[in-house]
Amino acid sequence: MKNKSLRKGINWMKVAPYFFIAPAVIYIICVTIIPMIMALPISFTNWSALSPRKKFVGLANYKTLIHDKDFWSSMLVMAKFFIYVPLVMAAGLGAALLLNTKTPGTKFFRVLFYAPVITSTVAAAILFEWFFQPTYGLFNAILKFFHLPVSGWIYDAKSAVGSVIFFKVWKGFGACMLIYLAGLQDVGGEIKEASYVDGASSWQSFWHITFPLLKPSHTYLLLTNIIGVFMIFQETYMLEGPLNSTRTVVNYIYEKGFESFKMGYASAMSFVLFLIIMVVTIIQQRASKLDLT
Amino acid sequence: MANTTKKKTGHIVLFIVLCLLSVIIAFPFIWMVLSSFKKSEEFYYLVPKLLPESFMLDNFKELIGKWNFLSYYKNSIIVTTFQVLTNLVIVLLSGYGFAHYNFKGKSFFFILILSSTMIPWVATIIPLYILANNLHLIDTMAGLMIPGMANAFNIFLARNFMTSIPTAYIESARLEGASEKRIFASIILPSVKPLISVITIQKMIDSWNAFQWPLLCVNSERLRTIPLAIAKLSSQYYDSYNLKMAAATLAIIPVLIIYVIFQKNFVEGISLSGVK
Repeated sequence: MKNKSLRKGINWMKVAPYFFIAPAVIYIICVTIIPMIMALPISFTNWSALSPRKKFVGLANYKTLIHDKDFWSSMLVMAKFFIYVPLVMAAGLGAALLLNTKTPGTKFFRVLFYAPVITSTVAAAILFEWFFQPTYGLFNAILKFFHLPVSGWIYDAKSAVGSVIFFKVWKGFGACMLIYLAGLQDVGGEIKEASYVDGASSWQSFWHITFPLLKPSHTYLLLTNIIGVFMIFQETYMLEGPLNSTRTVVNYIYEKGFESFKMGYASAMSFVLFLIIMVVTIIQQRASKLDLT
Repeated sequence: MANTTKKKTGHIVLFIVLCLLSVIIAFPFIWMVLSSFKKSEEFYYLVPKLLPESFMLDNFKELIGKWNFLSYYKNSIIVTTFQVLTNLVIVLLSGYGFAHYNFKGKSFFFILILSSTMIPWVATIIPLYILANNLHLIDTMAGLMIPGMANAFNIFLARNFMTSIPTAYIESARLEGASEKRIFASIILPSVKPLISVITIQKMIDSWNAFQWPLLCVNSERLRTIPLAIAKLSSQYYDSYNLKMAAATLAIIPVLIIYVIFQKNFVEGISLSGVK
């Protein structure tokens, strides 16, 4: 009897870990790994959601892509969105510095500043759609009140990208703030204190001591925000500027794949975008020696 | 003495700056809630007013009556509940498996999961759509729910968190004859409560706000979730700002309430993930 249970126990010990990890592994294989393996082959076909037939077309999709003006203009729009990265990081760092003090109520402010991050992008965008409205909207009313020149916001091709960036900074700076606050806690007060004794002004001590010590936070935020910009979709799906002025690569992929049903072609574009993101990630990680494990 | 007064005025200035900033951050939400009671005409005043002329509930009535918003709510709640539960099961089991067992292929499987967190959704979404289409899952509840069943990054989080549970506890329970299942249920689960609350809240908000996959997967009205309903409202009723504000309020307010109640867990989530 005792012998039997012992044997059973040993077997179970060897099998148990596979039971524990099986759901996760199966899920990841089905939802991420298999689609990832399929991605490249699909981009060599003319797959369309409308007909079940698919034909191997070789590199045709990639050749079309090189000559597709709309693709390159969407790349350009995406490039403009990179201004968002320094802006949101600066806003997040600013907020973190303001809150890394002993002023009363910092906890309340921290909770409030993070609130836009957790709200639905789609719902928040519908709100800003009205704020941006040129004739009746709130932002122009405020500008008029201060006798400042009004803007066309997202309804003007020239200011559309800037307006979406404005919305994104409002929505996203709280996430950067939390990361910077955690970083500032690591930096601690002692080093700063020491630099005050040495006679450094607070600007000097920030620029030469605190800012460089926050490097892990900078690198993490730089990488995640850059990848975020490559994949901007919801904001520009909801807040669409005229003349495709806010059509990013992902918006264009969506248009081709799910409105014109050219899935093979859309797949080729997303594979190119994937390669770009991977290259950026690798460069970033090499540069910062970011250790994930 | 002079130094402390200087410090005090510094704090007061800082406090005022923070208050002004708070107004800017909170204003859109305040505006949204107040505007959801406004009549359509009130959005076309040349000088917009913050307060509605009367607090009427017509917008909400129209959303629920004509727009069937309650059924979208129901869909969002079903999807969110399902995904929060599956995420908990998948993440906690695998986190424990990776943290406290040595087995063949352990590092292979772990790297597989870890590397999947680096694959952007853009790269996999079209093949995923084709896969779901071949399995006849497009425009079904199952198809809507399956791709968001777990968060791979949470697995990484759980494994790190569970590594801190002393192996001695587990070993001694094993020597006393407890089964692996029992050890998991009565030793591991009670000691990872902070982890459980963090991944529950994070997943809840992710699922509630999910947009990209639902947009591709759902065609019919009966499966529409709240974010999809808002996108539809935005494209179909270009001028009905009153309805849009009420819809945004319905989408955002429940999340804000949950967030305020559990806000501690968000900050903990950041420190748990060890990203600084």
